[in-house]
Amino acid sequence: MTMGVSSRLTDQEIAPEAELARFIASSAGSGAGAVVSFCGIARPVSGGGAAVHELHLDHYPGMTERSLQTIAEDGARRFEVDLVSVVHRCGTIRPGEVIVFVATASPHRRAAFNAADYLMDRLKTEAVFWKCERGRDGARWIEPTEGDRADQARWED
Amino acid sequence: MNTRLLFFGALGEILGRERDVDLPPAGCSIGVLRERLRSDEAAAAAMAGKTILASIDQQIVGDEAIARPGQEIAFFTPLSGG
Repeated sequence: MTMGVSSRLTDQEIAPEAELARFIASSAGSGAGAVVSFCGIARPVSGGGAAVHELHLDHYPGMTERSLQTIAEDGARRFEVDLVSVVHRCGTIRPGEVIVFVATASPHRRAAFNAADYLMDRLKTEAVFWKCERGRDGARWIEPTEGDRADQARWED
Repeated sequence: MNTRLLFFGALGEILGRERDVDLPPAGCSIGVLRERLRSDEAAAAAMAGKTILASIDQQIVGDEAIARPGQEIAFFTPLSGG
């Protein structure tokens, strides 16, 4: 594991304020002048507009954790940011709960913003999860959207 | 020799998380394993019309890859991402 790059999979609720406070504390002494964070929050409606009662994120123990760490390390290396944190939820998630927390730290803001943007585009398409939306009319397994794929393609050389 | 197959995503929901299969000591290809799965009616129905990916020891592989007893073999629908 690269120093300063951490990823974590959890089936418990994510408290973004605590994660951010911990991340900022860990960036002290690193020379970081910029910290950027992002929260992905479960929405109460699906892409098609139907009400979502809960989201279920199935994962592959081992493979999923490795995908998070690989993506986090790639982001750190590509943008030369010193510190990266990726925290991702699995299991059953209710609307309003945090699905993913990402934070980056670097001396100046441009790299921190770009790294966070990149990390989210990769997580949305390559993190090893199978997402199922459960609503009144039943359950639907989700695949990445055209928008997600286009976002990921932005970063290709 | 008894080997455990794992299923994830929509496939796991229908077939359950794991199922044992008997593999010869020399193993068999993923393609052959797919066909063996489909010989089960419930599995065939679960797999019909879907892209099903396979992995050996957590690396995605093609149908020509050989699955051997003792390896971790999984089948799943395409990832949703996070």
